[in-house]
Amino acid sequence: MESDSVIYGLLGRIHLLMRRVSNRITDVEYMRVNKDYAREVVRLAMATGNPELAELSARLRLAMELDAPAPKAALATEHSGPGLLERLRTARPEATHPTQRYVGSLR
Amino acid sequence: MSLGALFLPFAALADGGAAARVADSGHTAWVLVATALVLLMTLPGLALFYGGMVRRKNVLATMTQTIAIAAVVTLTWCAVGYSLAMRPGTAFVGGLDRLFLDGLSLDALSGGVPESVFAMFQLSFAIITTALVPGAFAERMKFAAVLLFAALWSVLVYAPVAHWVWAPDGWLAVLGALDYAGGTVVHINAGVAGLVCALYVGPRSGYGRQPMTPYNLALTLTGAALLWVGWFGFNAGSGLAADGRAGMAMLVTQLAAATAAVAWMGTEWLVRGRPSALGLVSGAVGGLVAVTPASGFITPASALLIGAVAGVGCYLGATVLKRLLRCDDALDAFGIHGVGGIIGALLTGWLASPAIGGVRGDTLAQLAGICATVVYSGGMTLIVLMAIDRLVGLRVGERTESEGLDLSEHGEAIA
Repeated sequence: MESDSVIYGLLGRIHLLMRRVSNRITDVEYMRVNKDYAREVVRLAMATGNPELAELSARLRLAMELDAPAPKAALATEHSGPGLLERLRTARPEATHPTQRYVGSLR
Repeated sequence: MSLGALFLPFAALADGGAAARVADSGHTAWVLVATALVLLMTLPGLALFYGGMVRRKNVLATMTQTIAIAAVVTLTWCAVGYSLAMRPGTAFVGGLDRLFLDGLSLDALSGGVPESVFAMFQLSFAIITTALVPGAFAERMKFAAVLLFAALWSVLVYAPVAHWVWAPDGWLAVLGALDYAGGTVVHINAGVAGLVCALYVGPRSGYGRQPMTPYNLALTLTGAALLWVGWFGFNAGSGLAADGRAGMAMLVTQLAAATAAVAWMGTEWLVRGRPSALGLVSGAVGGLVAVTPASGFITPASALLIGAVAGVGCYLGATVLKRLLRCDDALDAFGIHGVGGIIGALLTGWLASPAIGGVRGDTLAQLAGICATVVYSGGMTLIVLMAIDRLVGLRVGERTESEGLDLSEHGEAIA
């Protein structure tokens, strides 16, 4: 996946063009964190027939890996039991994913 | 002479008739530097601190609000705020003899410094107090409403509370409530106003359902560092003198900030398994807030205690209390400034040492100061909000909010 600055650059240009071409408002932040929403905006962008939007949408698909299938959960049989280091690591609470962390609170 | 006149740092304020005295050059030099430090806390400290925490689409608008508030409050302070806050008058509000700073001559003195320096120093406090409030209603208020709010709030709320506490004839000063550098006047006042704003304006669209990812916490850390350093002017300058008490105020400020940063970090590490960058600086700010009222009255050991209590207390204020209150105090103006200010005001009553400030604290007087500020600030803020709502409306439309205030309110955006 591309860096945040590249992705935000594409999202910002799509946002502005969508507003200009189809008078449609999009949420850049939400596109960044929700791939389903991003896919839907890309579909709408392609539907406008605007060549610049089509090109940006194609680049965004690659940058955010929108066409990649959702990762499957690892099978339990693939692991034959955690080692000491692994157990020490997992004793630490899981970090909240940033997209969930900032729901309802900053701190 | 009142108790306040004996012990409060601003007690010797505004004696324009003292023509026979001359300003102390050492004190004047230090208060000039302290003024620049306090202004640096807002410009750009607070602008960066807040700007980094909002979403990308609102960064410019948030920083613009801070800078615009500094400009607006400067004008209201000059027109009427300084006179109402700092000049002799009644127990509740100052006189009107300095409207538009009329009569502020070159040789007018306030304590050992020129009155012009005193007025400017106090202005930097009025600016940062007003600029703290938008942290609670960030990302959803009309710019015109923010400007009106700053103008009205700085005159109708900040100035009277400052007079109660810091003017020798203010009723809280006479009662013996201690507030060396603004725990009550600045932090409780701004925190409570922020809470009322957040409740009245309502939550941001999508609050509690969508992630509100901060734009760039590196900006926030930079802003927090500027706040930390600028706070030395805030606390150590409040005695209006370059002396041992100022040195002690600076030392206890550093101790409390560091202790609170470690306390918040430790608490978060224990509870969540990881210390966050935002938590570290939030803890430091919480400690700085809490030590503010106490800074001219306490020993270093007391500063460590205040910092520890504030670090844990502000963590709970910005997390547990925030959830309980169920309001979208976007950048935790109440959770940190309100809670930290109350902790500091109460502990000042308990920990004030006669060996440092020449006075013993009175917890009941501190409690009276807290309650009066909460009631007055909360009530008047509500009235100000209702008036602005009628005049220009407070909230931007849903579509504008979704688009972001940068583009909709200012026609600009971050690339």
